[in-house]
Amino acid sequence: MLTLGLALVLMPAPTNLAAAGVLGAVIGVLKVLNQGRAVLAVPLPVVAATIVSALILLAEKYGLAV
Amino acid sequence: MSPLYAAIPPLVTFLPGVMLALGMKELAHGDMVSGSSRLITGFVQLVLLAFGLTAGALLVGEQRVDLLEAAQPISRAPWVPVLGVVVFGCGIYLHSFAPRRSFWWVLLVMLAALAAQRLSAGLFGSLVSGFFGTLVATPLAYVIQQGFKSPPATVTFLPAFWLLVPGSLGLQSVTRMLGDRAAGFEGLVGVVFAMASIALGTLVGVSGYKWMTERTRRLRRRIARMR
Repeated sequence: MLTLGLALVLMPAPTNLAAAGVLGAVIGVLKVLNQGRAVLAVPLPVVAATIVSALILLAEKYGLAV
Repeated sequence: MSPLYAAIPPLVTFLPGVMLALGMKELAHGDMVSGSSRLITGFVQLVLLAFGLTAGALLVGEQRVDLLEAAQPISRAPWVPVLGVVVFGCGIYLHSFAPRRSFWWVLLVMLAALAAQRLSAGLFGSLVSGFFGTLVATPLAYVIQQGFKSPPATVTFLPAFWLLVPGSLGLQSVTRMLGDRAAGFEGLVGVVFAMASIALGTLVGVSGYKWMTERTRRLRRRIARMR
């Protein structure tokens, strides 16, 4: 919901909203899985950013208008 | 559309916008150690996120500049940002486990801050719009706390602060710096100015509220003595 709200404020386009919803859920799952593991807490932003940009560019590469 | 615009919303919980703006506020207040350490931590977080975005682009065999393709303008209905604030408010409410009766107050402060920011952006430009956003949000949060016996000002103010601070702009600038140093640096200077205006808005808002409450208290005492 945070992600969708920010997407609506920043750049409200249907594809952007769909991407924000899916990727927001992915990051949410990642954060839940990472809860209570101090070792993985530090590189989590880097890992999350890597996953997000890789998924967006892959989607674009395979013809999805992200 | 710019892939960077699609990449920023999912990373909102990692964006150090609040940390950077609080750091600026503390420096302006004279708290040098906490302010500078917060600023450095926030900047390192931005660099880490930009590094992650670039690493993701390189992993799938794209050039890092592909993240920075120019965004096409999208026609915006005026109600869309308002809907965005409402959804964002719901998200923050659930994410932060805010007290039950605080939701409407949180929403009110966020909408007032957004309205002030948008109005001033049209009048004076987006760099100083954060000043007016926090100038409205800060005293409003304190008035809600004192006058309506509602949740503490921090609970209602922080979500508005999160909405106003240009954490996403900072990430865009740092990522742009990886491709085009000059453009990225220019963007980063803009972010520093925007954060300074937000910090100043908070300080002026708090001072204005304190001045107002002092005056009201004195006036009440005077009226009580006269009786």
